[in-house]
Amino acid sequence: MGKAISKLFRKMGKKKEMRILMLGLDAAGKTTILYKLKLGQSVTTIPTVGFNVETVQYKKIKFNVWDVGGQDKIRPLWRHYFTGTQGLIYVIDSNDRARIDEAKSELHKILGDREMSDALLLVFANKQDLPNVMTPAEITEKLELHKLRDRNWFVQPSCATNGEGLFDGLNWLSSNIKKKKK
Amino acid sequence: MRRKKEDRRKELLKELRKTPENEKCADCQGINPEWANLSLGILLCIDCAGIHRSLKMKHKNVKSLVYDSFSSEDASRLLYIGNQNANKYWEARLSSRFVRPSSHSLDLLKQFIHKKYVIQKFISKSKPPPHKIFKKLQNSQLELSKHFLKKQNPNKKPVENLIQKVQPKNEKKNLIDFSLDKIQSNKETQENQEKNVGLNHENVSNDKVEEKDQKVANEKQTENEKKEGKDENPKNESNSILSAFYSGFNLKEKENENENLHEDLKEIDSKPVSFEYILSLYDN
Repeated sequence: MGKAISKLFRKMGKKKEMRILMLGLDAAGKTTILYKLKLGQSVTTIPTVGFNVETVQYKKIKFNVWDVGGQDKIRPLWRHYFTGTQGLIYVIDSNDRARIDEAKSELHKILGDREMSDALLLVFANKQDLPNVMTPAEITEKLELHKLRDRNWFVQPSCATNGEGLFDGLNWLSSNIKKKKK
Repeated sequence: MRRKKEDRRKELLKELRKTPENEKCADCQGINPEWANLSLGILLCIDCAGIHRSLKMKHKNVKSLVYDSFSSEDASRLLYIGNQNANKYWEARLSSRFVRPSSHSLDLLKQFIHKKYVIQKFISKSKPPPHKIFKKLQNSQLELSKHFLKKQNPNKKPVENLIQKVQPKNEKKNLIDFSLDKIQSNKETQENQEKNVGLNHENVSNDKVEEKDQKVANEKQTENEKKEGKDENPKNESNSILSAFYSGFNLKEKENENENLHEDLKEIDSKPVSFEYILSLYDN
């Protein structure tokens, strides 16, 4: 009996873990988002060659966030990080209209992979602090998210440097991972 | 296909490294820069590349020379401008005693880069910014590439023949008219730019001008006369751009004209050839 109760307590106290993969074109702000989430401050990053990984605690969920460099030539390496990913954070530079098509095709390449078929999709429409940026609705349209089938997705406007919208995004991830388990 | 692209990148890096200034970061002088601000046409180390990305400025297309691919336009911009020419503009008024912050003190480095590009504290007041020159130069690219095509491959069919072949197309003919015009007007009016005239003239004159004068002179003259009224201003503008390019970038102080002319010829020779070379590599 005592054993059962302690087991129950342990289960309640046990924090859930979620493996998150953060991708996007180069200079979209992935690393800045990662360290804003982790440290709560905006740091000057250098371009990521390889990856950064940090755990972020939010609402009793332990997010293991993998941030992989987005340079052209290292994008083919993304797929090596797909296994076991429960949530994909795809970061868009809302100011970069010239490359939104490139971002779209990269995103659909990722989502087409079998390993990613169950992953939630959270799109950060980043850099919303800049003037004349694309709105979340515009990005939804340009990324052709409405065409997605069997995919739980959400577009969250964000600004990595001041942190706006970042935890809202995590919130969406945490609440939707629960739904899925039910 | 992939391999071929790889080779092209290596070629470009090799070509860039021929200039000693390109072996150091444009901002902190760190060795072996493998990143570039493509909009400004400069090479950077990874730390300065990171800072450039974070700046709130228009020109910050920061790419890796190793992990990114880029267009022929970007490649030629890098080759044309490079750290040497860029810093002649961006650091024109920087004291020679200035101690550069290194990448070990990121905050200082960030301040310096901000001053250099955003506030534009050290820029030259007499020269136009190199990336703008390049942009304008691009507009006359066709003209230039024709001009240098012959230089690069003397064995190839001379430009003259090409022109005669495509003579029905007025556009191309006009372009050449244009350059000839330039030479003539230069001669008459601007003695200061004698060098540039000399350059253009020497290259063109040997076989071009004579033939031209004989063969197509009549047609051209009439055409020129028609054009002159309308096009005078743009002509002068592009002319001044070209001369600004040469004088701003490649020509040193104009003291001993003949000696300098010789040196400058060399310098100008090397650049357009590599430019053409890269263009041919990328645009195949």
